[in-house]
Amino acid sequence: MLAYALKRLLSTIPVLWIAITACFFILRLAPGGPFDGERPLPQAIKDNLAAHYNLDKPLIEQYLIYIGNVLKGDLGPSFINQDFNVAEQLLSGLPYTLTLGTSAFVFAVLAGILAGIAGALYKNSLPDYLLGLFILLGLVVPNFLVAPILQLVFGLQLDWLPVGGWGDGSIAFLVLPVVVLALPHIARISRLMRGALIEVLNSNYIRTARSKGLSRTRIVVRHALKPALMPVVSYLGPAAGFLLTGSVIVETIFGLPGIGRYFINAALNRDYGMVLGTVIFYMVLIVVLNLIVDILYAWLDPRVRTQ
Amino acid sequence: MTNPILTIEDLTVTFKTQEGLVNAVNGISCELYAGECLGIVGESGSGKSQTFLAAMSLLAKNATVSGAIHYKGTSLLNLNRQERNHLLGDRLSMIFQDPLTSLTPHMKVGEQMQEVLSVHQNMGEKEAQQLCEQWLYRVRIPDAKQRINQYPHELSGGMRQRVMIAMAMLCKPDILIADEPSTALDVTVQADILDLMTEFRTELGTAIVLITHDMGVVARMCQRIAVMQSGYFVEQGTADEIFYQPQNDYTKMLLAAVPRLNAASPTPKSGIDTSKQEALLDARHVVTEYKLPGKWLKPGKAFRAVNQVSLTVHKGETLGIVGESGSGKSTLARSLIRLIGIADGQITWLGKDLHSLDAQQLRIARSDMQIVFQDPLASLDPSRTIGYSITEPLGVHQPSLTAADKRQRVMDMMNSVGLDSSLYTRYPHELSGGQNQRVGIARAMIINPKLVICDEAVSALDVSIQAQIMELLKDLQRRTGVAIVFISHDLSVVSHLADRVLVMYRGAVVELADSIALFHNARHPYTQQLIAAVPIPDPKIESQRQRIKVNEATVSALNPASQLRFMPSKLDTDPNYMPKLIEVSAGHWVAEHDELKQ
Repeated sequence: MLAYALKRLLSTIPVLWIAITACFFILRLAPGGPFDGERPLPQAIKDNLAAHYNLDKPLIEQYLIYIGNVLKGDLGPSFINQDFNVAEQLLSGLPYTLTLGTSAFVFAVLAGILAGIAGALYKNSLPDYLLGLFILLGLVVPNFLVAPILQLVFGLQLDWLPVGGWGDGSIAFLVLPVVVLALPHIARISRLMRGALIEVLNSNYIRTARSKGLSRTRIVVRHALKPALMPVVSYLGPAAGFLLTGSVIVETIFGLPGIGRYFINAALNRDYGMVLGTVIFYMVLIVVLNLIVDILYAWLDPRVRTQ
Repeated sequence: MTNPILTIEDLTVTFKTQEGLVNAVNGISCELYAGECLGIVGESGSGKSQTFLAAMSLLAKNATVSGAIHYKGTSLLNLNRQERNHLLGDRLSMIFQDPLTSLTPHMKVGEQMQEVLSVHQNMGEKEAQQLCEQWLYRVRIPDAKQRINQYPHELSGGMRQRVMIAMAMLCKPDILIADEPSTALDVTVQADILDLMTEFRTELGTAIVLITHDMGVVARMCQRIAVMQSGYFVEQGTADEIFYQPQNDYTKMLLAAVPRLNAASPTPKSGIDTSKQEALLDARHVVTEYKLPGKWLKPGKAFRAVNQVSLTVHKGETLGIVGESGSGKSTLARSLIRLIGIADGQITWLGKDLHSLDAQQLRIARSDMQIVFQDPLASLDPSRTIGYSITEPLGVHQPSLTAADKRQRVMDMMNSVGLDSSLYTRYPHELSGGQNQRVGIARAMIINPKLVICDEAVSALDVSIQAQIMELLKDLQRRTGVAIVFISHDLSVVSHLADRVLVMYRGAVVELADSIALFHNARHPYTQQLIAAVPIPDPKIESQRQRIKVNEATVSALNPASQLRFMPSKLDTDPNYMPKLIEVSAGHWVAEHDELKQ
């Protein structure tokens, strides 16, 4: 198991390298630069800036310098926001984004799995149909619509929860953004779970388990749950990615100080350092999450381990 | 007679499907007594499994059951879930056909067994583990101590079925329902599994219900038999009554259709004297290898699926190839017509080296060699009509034909394989298994090949259909003079079709002889063991037969020494030794072996 995890970890290195390289060059190919403002700067200042940020060197040399710095753990300076370097900016937004993303992730997984199990066990009866309707709503209504509706109902009319902002960081401020962020994922996870569990419950080994006189709870928990989780688990990697990057919109609607807004500003301003830094950050996060998913997979299915 | 342990009265099982109600079981009644083995025989779809799935309440949700099933006076159909769970796995247990999918894949074998004990007997973990180990020993699983901590995928099919039996027997049930328990297994493994069941019946008094399509298995195992057809018991009686005085026409037909290893073939085979015939295909020392996945950067080892096989197929003859699963028969067949490449050796087709032909020449050669596969439905394109599938080879090999000519040829071909011409525009899923296999044969025969390879072509079919397809093949051979290479794990079937038979073990030939010589005078211990393991549909013969068991296979097939299972004397001196074929009498070749104690 440990060897398997190590092997998977090593195989992520080339993935990261390819992604950083692709990002670096695509960004440079895009027209415009960080210092192209509405009012043109004098040539001398431009040259100085370029020299300061190594922009005057050949592209390939810039690339090597950047890779070298990244290997040392230095994500470099921000081109726009001179007071803070990339790492500092990311770190300042990170706690908010991470809190929001993780809470939404945990909520989505738990709620999705439970809803899926309920749907499978009460297949084609009232609870299943109600869940199905809810899932459909979760999938089709976009979050920029759900968010204001929830804000109106729970924030303004009922006055149960704050409308936005981080406030003192208490749970009350998190509830609405987490729900909005998690909703479509609850829907997807519960659909996957329901389908997989129905299939597993029809399999030969469940028939064997039933022939052994095991109780229904025991059959579901011990025999059916693990294999039925497989498709859900393979969705968790991408889902985690969506939740973290997708929080950009939710952060904006609820006015939360996460990484999302840095990312948008940086992209608009051609802040090479900041964009690359954010991309690397998200990538590492997604790669690590996928790694966790793979390890979960091996835990769920002994056949994966021997491959 | 004592009271029956299980009674079924007027049982009907109906399924609600989209096409309306389907009656799977139509009012059957029977009784089961302690210590006996009751055989339920019938072809697929006869409702034999559904009857006993109903007794175990394991039917699909869309089923409705009426009638009564009593276990020792308790009505099984009126129990609530808890009461039922109390009996299932404890007093009544069941084993299923497919051991590969019948165990939970993510749970260790031991865990799955132990939970039966903890649920029914409230047994502690330690005690349960010990008992499970004992049972694994009892079903003759070597290294039970290690096996108990393994996952199902780490065990072979036969091992898994042994685990299933051990698990079903843990609480010493009164009734063991076995639904085709040995159908998916090799004959020698089947024989072991059946022996185990008989052992438990005689030693523990467990009553067994054996559901099977195999008359031979029934003859070996059962005291009483019920024959089932489309949801009815058409005949019930003692084994002797059913086998020697069958009253019902369906029973008679079933018995007549069963290929018997011991009986002379009812219709003559090709009857060709091979020594006078021209050789179509000649293989010399053919080796076919599969690359195994390597570890880290090390390249994988090669697995020799076919090891130094030499054979000749003559014009118009039928060569049978038998062997157990993994013996390399299918790989050999595919190598013979270059569907896969060979690693060594030479294959000559009509005087030309087949594996050095270029694409153009190969296409021409291919028009003379065709193959029919095991799974008739899966081997046909589901989105194409039957007519299209049969016509396609004509378009490739005889492009000059007009559409009308082609259609005429296809119609003639369909006629000669016994397919109604109205099926021309139908799709494979609309046809039965037997009809689809006729399509497969028609597709192979349409371009008048000189050689047809039938790779387990009748294995998936019911016995009555199997008999028809075998007759069809013989008939086609008589009319067209096509040579057939007939590959099967079923020795009885091969004994009916083949002029000569080649026996394979782990990729190598162990015996090659004229069909009669091979089945009546087998010389190699492996062949003898195989033949002895085949159940014969005759209870009197079965009760007197001796089982032959030679030393068990102990080394992995990857180890070259596995070839020396029957020649252990060489193990110490030369573990890579490859036993040579020796001609013991004209045309009868036997691989070297030691005189082994049986």
